[in-house]
Amino acid sequence: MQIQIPYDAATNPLNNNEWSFPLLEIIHIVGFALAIGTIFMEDLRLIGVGMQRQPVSQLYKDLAPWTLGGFVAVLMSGPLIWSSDPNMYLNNGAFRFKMGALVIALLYQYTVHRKVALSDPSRGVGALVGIVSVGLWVSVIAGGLFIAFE
Amino acid sequence: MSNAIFEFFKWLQYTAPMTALRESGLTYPIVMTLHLTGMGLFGGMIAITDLRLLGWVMKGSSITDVVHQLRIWKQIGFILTVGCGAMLLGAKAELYYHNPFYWTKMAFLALVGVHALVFHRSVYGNTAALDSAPKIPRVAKVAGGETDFRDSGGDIEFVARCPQRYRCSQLRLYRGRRRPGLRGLSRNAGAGEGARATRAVISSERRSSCW
Repeated sequence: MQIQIPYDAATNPLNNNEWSFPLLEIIHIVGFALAIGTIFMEDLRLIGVGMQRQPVSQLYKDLAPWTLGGFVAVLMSGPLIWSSDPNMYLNNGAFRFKMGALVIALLYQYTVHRKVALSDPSRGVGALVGIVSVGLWVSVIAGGLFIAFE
Repeated sequence: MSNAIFEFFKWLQYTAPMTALRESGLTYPIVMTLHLTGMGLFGGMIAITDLRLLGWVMKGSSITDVVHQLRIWKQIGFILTVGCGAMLLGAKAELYYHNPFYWTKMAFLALVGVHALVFHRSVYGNTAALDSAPKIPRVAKVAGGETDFRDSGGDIEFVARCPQRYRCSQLRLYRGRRRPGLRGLSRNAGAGEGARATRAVISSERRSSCW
């Protein structure tokens, strides 16, 4: 089923300026690298293969502001990128997959992941939570990249 | 010299593995996903190392601890990024050869290498001295700040070098400025065969460009 919203993307300033769209994508990727990089650090610690000398809870507290900063950059630039051609994105299966994975990953990050990380879990629980987190965020990345190939 | 490089790129693009990668529907985007995952890992670890050198994060852990523990993951991220990047380059080498942003990216990558060489002895290989210093020395802060800047450079190039995206930005310009008829076209969705055909072309161009 085709989704059509009554919006003329040609009036969007992003479509009338050569540099605004790439600049937004740069902000999106820098924010993404910061958010995902810090989450991966926590996940590696949870899985038990990195940053072993720091307690998980301490690592989470240290990195949380930077993860949040990355998310703010990503979540502010993302909708603007989307506004450049909303109908194309809405009708793209990979984009819909990415949005679904993103919502699940964000909910997971600030519920299960946070709770487990702050409780300094046992190796088994930590590993499970860390592996699921890596899987969710890689799914978000894959969804984003497959938009161009669908 | 540039002719030799171009010939090499052309040869590389038409080798059997690169042809297979280019023509595969699934492998190419998977390699791209791994490239970006590696970038998240590599860029994230570098950012944390540099933020620690600047004294902005993980102040409860020593610089030595942070630098040493993240080193292996930076190396893994680097290998993943560069390995997948080389495959992506090989698959569409001719296209990248003619893209100035690709060469800008390579220049930034070379600067990252120079940075590592310049600061290896004084900062990254000398973390115990940094930890025992009463204040984080300026050289360490400069090293941290500079790498962050160059990482952003790498990201800029990642976005800008992508030929499909470049085409996308050209298309946007085309749509916005030089082809006013498209405004009407996008407003009147479903306004006839010609309009649908044109829209299909635009949409297929954009699908290959925006993520």
